[in-house]
Amino acid sequence: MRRRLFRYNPKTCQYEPAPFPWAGFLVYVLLFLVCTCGFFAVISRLQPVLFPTQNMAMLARQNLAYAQSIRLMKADLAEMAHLLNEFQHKEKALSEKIFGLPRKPSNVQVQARNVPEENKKILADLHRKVNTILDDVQRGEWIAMPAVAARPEWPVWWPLETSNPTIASGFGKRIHPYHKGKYFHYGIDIPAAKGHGVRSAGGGKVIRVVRSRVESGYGNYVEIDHGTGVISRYACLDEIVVRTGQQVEGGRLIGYAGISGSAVAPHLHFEILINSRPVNPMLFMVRNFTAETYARLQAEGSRINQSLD
Amino acid sequence: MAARFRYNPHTCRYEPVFQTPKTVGKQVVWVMLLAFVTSTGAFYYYVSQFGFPAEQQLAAGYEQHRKAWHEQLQQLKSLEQTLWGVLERDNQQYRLMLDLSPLSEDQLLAGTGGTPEPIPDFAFPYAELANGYHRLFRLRHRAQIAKQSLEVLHREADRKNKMKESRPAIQPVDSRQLSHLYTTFGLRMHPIFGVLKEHKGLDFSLPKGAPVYATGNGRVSLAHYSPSYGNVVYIDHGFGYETRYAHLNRFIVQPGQYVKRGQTIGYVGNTGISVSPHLHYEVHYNGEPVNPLYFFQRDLPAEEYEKLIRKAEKTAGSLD
Repeated sequence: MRRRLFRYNPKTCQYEPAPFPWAGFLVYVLLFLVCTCGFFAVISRLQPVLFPTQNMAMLARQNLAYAQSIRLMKADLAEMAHLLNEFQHKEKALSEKIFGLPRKPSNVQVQARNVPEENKKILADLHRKVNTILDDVQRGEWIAMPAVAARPEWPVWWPLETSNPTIASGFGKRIHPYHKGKYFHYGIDIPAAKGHGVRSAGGGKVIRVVRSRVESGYGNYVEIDHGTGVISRYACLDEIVVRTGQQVEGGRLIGYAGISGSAVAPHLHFEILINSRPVNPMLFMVRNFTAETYARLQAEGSRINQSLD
Repeated sequence: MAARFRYNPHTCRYEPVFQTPKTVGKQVVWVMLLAFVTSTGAFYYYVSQFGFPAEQQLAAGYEQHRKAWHEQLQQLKSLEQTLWGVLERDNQQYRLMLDLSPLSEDQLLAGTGGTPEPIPDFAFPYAELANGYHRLFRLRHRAQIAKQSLEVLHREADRKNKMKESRPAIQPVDSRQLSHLYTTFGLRMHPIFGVLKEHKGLDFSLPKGAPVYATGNGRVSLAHYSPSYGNVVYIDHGFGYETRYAHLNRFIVQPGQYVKRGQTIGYVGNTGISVSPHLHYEVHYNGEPVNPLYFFQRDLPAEEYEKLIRKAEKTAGSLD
């Protein structure tokens, strides 16, 4: 037990009990707190060094592996990204060499930039109309061609059996691959490997089968009369497996795609003529396509690039 | 002067209490000891409740690393998609266009069976890291395939383009100046000798001095005066093609000179065995004369071509 402390009071000349020394006590309390915190920190710091647990070692190893991997991967990814960038440039150059213009990502949506407000509304209306037509196309009942659905013999099927239809060059003014001048390209060029089956776009009668060694023009080609003045023409074929006068139904194999005539790459040159006048075959190709595919094909076909024949 | 006093019952006096460094030090040591014991207790309590703080730190670090790693995997994924697009277009479009056989499945999927590079030892026990490395190596391997393939495609495209530029493809004269095209190719009655003789080319009847154009890029292999051909230019186009332009009034190219398609090489004349000013044009493929009509690109519809060729196959007159 601590003995009591006294204080001398000079006024009364007496010894009085001293008050509790709060200041000193507070100093010690502070010291205690500071030391406690300090010791806690020191202990928690020293613990992994002096008494490491197994779990800790495992975690440390893991972290090290991750850190190292991240560092290595970062360099590798940068290198790969650089390489892929290079590839894309090379691909662009290649596309330019083959098609005479750089490859563009086929983007269906039209980006309207810097358009005045009043024109935006018109654009929006136009988009809505186009989308309505595309929806109709998807359902196979295109308003512009109501008769198409009614006539099973009309050329409405894609002339190539493929899951991924593409167009290399469309209908209209194109660049000739040989003399590089502009000329009117009366059909669409559908890239196809040599020997890929070509099917009739609709039912009809084969009215012409031409086999030609000439390295210009259509090469080997077939014409099918679908009645009412609609004729489809399949050119640059490798082989033809139908005869003149033969009746064919839609989707029948009529030959194999090739590189005959003035073709510079294996493809099918497909034309549709109404009363001997060539029309854009895309107007007929309404079956089996979703709106997106159709729009993509339209976009691909509308590029003014180099044709394949 | 001491500030405080203590009552001593033995002496019945108040004695001053002095604070020496020794007493203060003693007190401080006691406080620190107490603090040490308390902190040790607190540490044990903390560990029992929350686990070791060092472990917690490591775990937090692990979470950070994992997040960073996943971000990198996302980047890797986008790179994979880009590369896959490149390979797919390579395979489905460009190889098709260039008439090359497509890459085999084995080549495309290379690296799925076993990785060509070993996964580093430190990453091996961790599935996430190992998987990432596996994907990276596969990507790298495929990128190598794509690189080689693109090089092949470029070479082939260059070759094809060169062939397209070199192959005779246009008419050697301006068709607006053309007064008559003799489409004879094959046997015909010779206008001077009056006997059946092989005619190896086409005759373009034009006024004297009309320019004659090279029909494809190539090297002039010969340009001289021959008694039968008159002034004649031979152009070697490579790829097996050779063209000859005969009966020229004069030629303006030298042997060994490189000419481009459409370049003027001479002027129409009436030299050699010839009855009127005209250009005699021949195309040879691998040493054999072929009908030059086959090489005129589409300026005419296909039907017109067929008519021309049918006409050419019939025996008719010619100018030499």
